Amino acid sequence: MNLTINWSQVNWLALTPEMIILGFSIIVLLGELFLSKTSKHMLGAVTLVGLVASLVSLGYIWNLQATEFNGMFSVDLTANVLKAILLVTTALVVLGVLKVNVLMGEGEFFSLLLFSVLGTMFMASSADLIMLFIALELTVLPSYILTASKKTRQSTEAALKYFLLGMISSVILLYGMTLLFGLTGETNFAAIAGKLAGHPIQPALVASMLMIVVGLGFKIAAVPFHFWAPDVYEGSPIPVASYLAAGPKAGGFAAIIHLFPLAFGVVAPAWAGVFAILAVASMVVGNLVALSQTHVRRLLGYSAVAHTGYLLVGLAVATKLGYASLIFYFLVYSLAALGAFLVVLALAERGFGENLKDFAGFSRRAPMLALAMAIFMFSLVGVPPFAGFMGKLYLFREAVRSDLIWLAIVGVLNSVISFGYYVTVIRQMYLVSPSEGEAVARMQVSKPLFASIMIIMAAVIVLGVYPNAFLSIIKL
Amino acid sequence: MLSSTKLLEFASNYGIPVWALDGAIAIVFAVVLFAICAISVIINVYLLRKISADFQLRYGPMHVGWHGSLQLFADAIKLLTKEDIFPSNADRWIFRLAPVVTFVPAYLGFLVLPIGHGIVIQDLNVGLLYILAIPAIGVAGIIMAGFGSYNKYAIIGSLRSAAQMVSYEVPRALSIIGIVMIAGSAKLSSIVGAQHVWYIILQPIAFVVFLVSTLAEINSTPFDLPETESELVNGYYTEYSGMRFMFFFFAEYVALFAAATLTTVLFLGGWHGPGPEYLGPIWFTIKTFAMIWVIMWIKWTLPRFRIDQVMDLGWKVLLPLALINVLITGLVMMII
Amino acid sequence: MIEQVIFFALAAVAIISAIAVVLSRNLFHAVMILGGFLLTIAGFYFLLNADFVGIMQVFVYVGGVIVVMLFGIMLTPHEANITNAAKLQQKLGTYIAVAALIGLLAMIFIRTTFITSPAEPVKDTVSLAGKLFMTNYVLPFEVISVLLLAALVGAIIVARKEEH
Repeated sequence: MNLTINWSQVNWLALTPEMIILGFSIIVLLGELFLSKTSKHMLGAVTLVGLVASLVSLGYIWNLQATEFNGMFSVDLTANVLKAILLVTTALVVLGVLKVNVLMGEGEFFSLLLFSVLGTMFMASSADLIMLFIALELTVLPSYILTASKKTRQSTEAALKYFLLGMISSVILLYGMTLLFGLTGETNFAAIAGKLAGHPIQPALVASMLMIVVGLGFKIAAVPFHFWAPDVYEGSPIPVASYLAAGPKAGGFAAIIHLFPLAFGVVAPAWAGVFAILAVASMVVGNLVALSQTHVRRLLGYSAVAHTGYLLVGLAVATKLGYASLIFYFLVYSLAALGAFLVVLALAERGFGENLKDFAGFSRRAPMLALAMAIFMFSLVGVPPFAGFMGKLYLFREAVRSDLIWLAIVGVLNSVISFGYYVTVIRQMYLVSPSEGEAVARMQVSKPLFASIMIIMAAVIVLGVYPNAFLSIIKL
Repeated sequence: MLSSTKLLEFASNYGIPVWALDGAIAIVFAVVLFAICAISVIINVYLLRKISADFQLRYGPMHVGWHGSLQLFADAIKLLTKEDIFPSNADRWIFRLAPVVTFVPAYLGFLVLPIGHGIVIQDLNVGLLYILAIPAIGVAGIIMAGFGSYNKYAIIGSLRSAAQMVSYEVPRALSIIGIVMIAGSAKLSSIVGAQHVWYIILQPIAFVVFLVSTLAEINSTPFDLPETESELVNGYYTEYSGMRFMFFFFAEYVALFAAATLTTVLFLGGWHGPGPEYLGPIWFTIKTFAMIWVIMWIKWTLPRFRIDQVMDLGWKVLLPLALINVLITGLVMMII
Repeated sequence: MIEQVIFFALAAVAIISAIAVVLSRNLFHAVMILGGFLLTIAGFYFLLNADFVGIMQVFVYVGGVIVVMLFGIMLTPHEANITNAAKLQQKLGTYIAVAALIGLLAMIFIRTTFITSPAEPVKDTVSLAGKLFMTNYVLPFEVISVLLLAALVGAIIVARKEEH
């Protein structure tokens, strides 16, 4: 057994983005301890600086390919792109909540957020089952806590559901991993692939694959492991919900993209089929249930489930181009969903409810925000010229190319169904006037929140009109 | 596993299978251990009474036997002949099991203690961890006693006790890390063997942390909140009487004895002492009783803490101290 | 031979106690039996010559987790005996599902050949574990420390009183 590690040969550059996030999370945590009450609002800005610094360092190692720490940690373009998406969306969340009451100590909130980001980044880079599991726990544990931080009945219930389901899925994931270890005696993805190649397929391998699908399927909220998602999106504090809607899924998808083609390469058709089934189930269930929702965040929760379905199409295709279009659509989706959550946050900050009827007359209260919300909704449906259209186009094109025409058709039909509920939001904002006797006054929005929403809106438009700006970066 | 080569030869000559030999030896050791525990408890209780009397300018027990030396036997006979009482709402199974679950771990701790050079029942590689982990099971017994009794004093006492023990396990375990680092082993015999200089000199911070958290672990004053007579009658074993009460009583003194022996092994050089090697057990015993005397000295000198003070001391003082000790030890070892 | 006897004895105790945990109506009893179950798991580790893991199992689970669970039970109001409101159909459905899952897994495992480690049992597991933590597994080891820090912060946040 190799019991040495040559510290001087470790390429620390590969870890700089993670190190920066770790450093800033500790700084922020200590800031909560030592700063006076009045200066604690700086911690949000510090967090933002940390995220941007990490992003810059990520850009510095963009094309690096490295495997460090005896095969525990690997960096490649897929991981880097997903990390970048995570960092950008989290930075936008932090920018948005700079002037917002986060319902707990700022230092605690932002450090937990950074811990979760750190876990997700490690998950995206893990090349070993042990690393993957620990990183996954680091991702979800702060999420449970953040969900519970509001201490209302609803928030506690959501957190408890999230926690229990999360634990059960972690256990199943771990069981699958132990089976994989029992079959190969290895925990490294590549080593597992090496041990499995050229041998007949054992039944336990399929069982292990299914168990790992369950475990990671929970993470990305695919049907039938989605039950936590609507509750968490509805029950948790809005800043937390906006973070959860976008960021942590990047880790799940990165882990799947790294683990399945490599370690389960010998049973590739099986898992591609499983992902296709999950894709259809997620799309259909998510969209149909969303149709009858009146609470906007719950609606967005089911829409998130449906979008997991669209994203899973990329995994069902199981080609390099499929994964690339998944990543592109993931960016597009998380931007639009994040934007929608931030608009809900802007409303809630001014004391408005979060039901569909509370959006009545929104276009007159805040024309720019209403416009942004409308654009996000159109992008989520997939209406040209917004980014969602291009994303879906690439995904379904890959499905057709891989002879999964039926999957593409299901996807398109579902997009049409989803129009039903997204358009209700737009109709409420533009066509329905608020109830009698209620004055329609201009709504005040804090400047950072407004800036964050505007940035997202611009990004959604740019990515729709000129997707090559991003595609050339991820080399599609 | 326990069998030496001579015994193995003996067994094969007479056709006795190895497992039977192992079993027989295990039973013998169990009985011997129990006897040692019982004797130590008798001596400890007598010492406790006499020392406390001395501190309080009294005589202590004087009537039964010479200077009250047979008092404990009288007490034992009294307890054994008492009626076995169950509280009416008690959870019978839990109530019955609790004394055993509390007592057995305290007693199992002695399995790995090296009394002299090579005199140890089972010299585990993880002996140190074992001796730390085993009392942890006893905590469950204490909670069982509190819950099973259906008595508010018992419940509060057991909760306090469990909180205290769980909290102080952390600094206690961390304080020992420094010793493991210096000795390079978690085997108790190797730790003693490596102590050419007593670790109380090399690891003074660890010794203080260990001693204080040990006092808390065995619920000795100033950490006797679980059984504060003035508040909780008798804490978690308020409802127990007769035989079962004796088990708790036993467990408490065995724990005291175990704590003293462990401190001897870890910090006071174990069997090391002047003179030939076979005097080891004698040195060991002397050091152990010196340690018991120190614990009793503390017990009869310091007043009791409040529960919040206990928690503060554990988490905010001892834990950082233990961590700093690990850091310092590491740095010094790196430099040397 | 004797190892197999011990293994099957431990396995029997483990299975029976696991079933008892699930079926017990009294939460306190269930947790106590769970403690016993976790001790048998420690027994398995000892049988596998993994004495360090075995001791840690006792230390962390029996001494820590079980005690904290008992704490939770004793500090929260609860009925002594929770009457299970499940209907017969629900119970039947659960039993059938569990039996089917066990059957399926058993079938899969019987048809699978797992690899066995050719390595000799390690004499000094503690120092080997320490070396592995500091070399091959140093990164996960450090990430766990961050995880524990997050858990500590989280425990305080969840447990403390509402300020507002």
